[in-house]
Amino acid sequence: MIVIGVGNRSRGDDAVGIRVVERLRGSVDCYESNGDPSELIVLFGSDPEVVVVDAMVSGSEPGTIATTEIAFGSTPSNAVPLRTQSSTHGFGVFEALELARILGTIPDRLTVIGIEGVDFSPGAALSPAAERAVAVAADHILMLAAAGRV
Amino acid sequence: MVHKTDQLRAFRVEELSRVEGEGALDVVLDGDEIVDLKFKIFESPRFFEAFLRGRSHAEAPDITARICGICPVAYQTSSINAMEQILGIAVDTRIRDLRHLLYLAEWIESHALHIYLLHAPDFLGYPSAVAMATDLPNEVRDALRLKRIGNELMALIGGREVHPINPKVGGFHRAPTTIDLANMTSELEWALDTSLRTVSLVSGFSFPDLDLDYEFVALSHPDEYAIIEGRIRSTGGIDASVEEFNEIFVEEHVEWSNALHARVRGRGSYHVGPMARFNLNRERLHPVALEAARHVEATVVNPFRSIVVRAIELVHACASSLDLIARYEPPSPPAATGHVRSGEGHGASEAPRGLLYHRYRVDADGLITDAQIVPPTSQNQLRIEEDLRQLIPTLVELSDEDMQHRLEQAIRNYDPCISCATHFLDFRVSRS
Repeated sequence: MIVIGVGNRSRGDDAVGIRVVERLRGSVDCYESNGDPSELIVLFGSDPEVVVVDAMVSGSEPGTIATTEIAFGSTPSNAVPLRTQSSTHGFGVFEALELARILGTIPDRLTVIGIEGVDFSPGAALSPAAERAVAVAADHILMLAAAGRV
Repeated sequence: MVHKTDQLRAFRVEELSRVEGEGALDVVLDGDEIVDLKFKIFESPRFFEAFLRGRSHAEAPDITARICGICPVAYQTSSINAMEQILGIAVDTRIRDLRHLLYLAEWIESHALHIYLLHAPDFLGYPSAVAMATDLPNEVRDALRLKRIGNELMALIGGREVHPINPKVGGFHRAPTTIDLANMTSELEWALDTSLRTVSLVSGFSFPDLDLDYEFVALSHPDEYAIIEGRIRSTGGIDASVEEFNEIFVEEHVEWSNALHARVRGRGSYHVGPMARFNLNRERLHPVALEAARHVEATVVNPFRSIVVRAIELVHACASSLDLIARYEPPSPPAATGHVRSGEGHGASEAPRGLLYHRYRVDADGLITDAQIVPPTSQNQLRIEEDLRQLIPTLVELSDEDMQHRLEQAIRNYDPCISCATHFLDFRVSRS
């Protein structure tokens, strides 16, 4: 029953995960993360039910919300498109998910909520589309929590 | 024995993986002759030296920390050293110890990342740490925990784990409590045990034969394995103060790179980083690390064995952190003050990747009028190209794929931080 918001609050829409978590504080057990796998893996192992919220760039309309559920035993490399490059820049949420699966610390139920971003410039505010999506995603997570899911 | 072919072979590694930042490698071979070789750094120039001008001397640690997300403490420490020289500040032992401990935390995080997640896959035949985790889950788990311990110690002292906000010119904004640091002891004891196992693990890797003739350059200090300060020494006979940096070394622009090439004036390339530190300062390692190094050759000249040296330095960092925590007393006040005045200051420290030099000029109001930052990767860039030139003739019988892999591995020997190396733009304008 934890929610992890991943992102950088100084890079425009990359902050969506953090902003969702800010709305949920007090209602749900929340963590902020910069996406470092060594940190995420510890958090993944700390609760059977985990929700990760992060910005995405999939080519969808800005503000689109995509939800992927990864049940224990499934292979994230199929569920989530793993990037092929593994630089220190590219070592992030996807690699953390795959590592967690391999290392056996993936939670029983893991929900990844992606919010399509449009502007990731340094110092930018959230785009209006991302701002709206943050509110919707936070409400969705509260609903999951009320249903005993989180 | 080198097999000569008549084929012209061209390699282009468009985007180097498992290095920090964006670089590429172009090689053109005619048989076993190298027609062209360029280690390119095309990450955009970042102009740090230019936009420091006009900012307060007190902002230099916070601004330069942003050059790198892996080694921000190195940038903070070198800039603080330079500014304290200008302001006439000499910090007390407690502040110095805390600064040293914060720097060691960065070494733990950076070395654990590079040894296990970036470099070990090369030796064990995996394309990435994720692929390696299937067969070696315990090692990858250990690596993540080691890195996390370094991060936690950085956050505890620095205020946060990336781009710490607590260090300042003169010391720290706030000192952690004795209890805060004592609570890290058991995790650091685990880290020390694990780093000793790391030395055994990487010592068992098989290393290509390649002994090279290097001039190693590192800071040296009479009382400790130099990290936060020292004199510049080299295996070629350099023994100079940090102020003499520009008299000894010169930086040059080459058209294929956004990072400057550095060389020893009147000589050539030089090598900074773990191998340089180890070869120059081995006897000053923590006794536990010195013992862990007992089977290591007197002078390490095979660049592929840098991973062993990095592991020994990981032991040093963990053991020294435990010592510093055991004797920790919070500095009070947490920072010393100096007098704002005009002047020039020089600062250097040993970033995880090697010597990091800063020079500033400050006016009477404490504003920066000139800045120079020389990161380790730009100092190593020329040397990396020379390593590749000497390695290639031994590889001509390999398939293109295997040769490319070995060349990438040779670049990763240096743990290059390309983002750090591209902070400079040589901007000239001519008007008529």
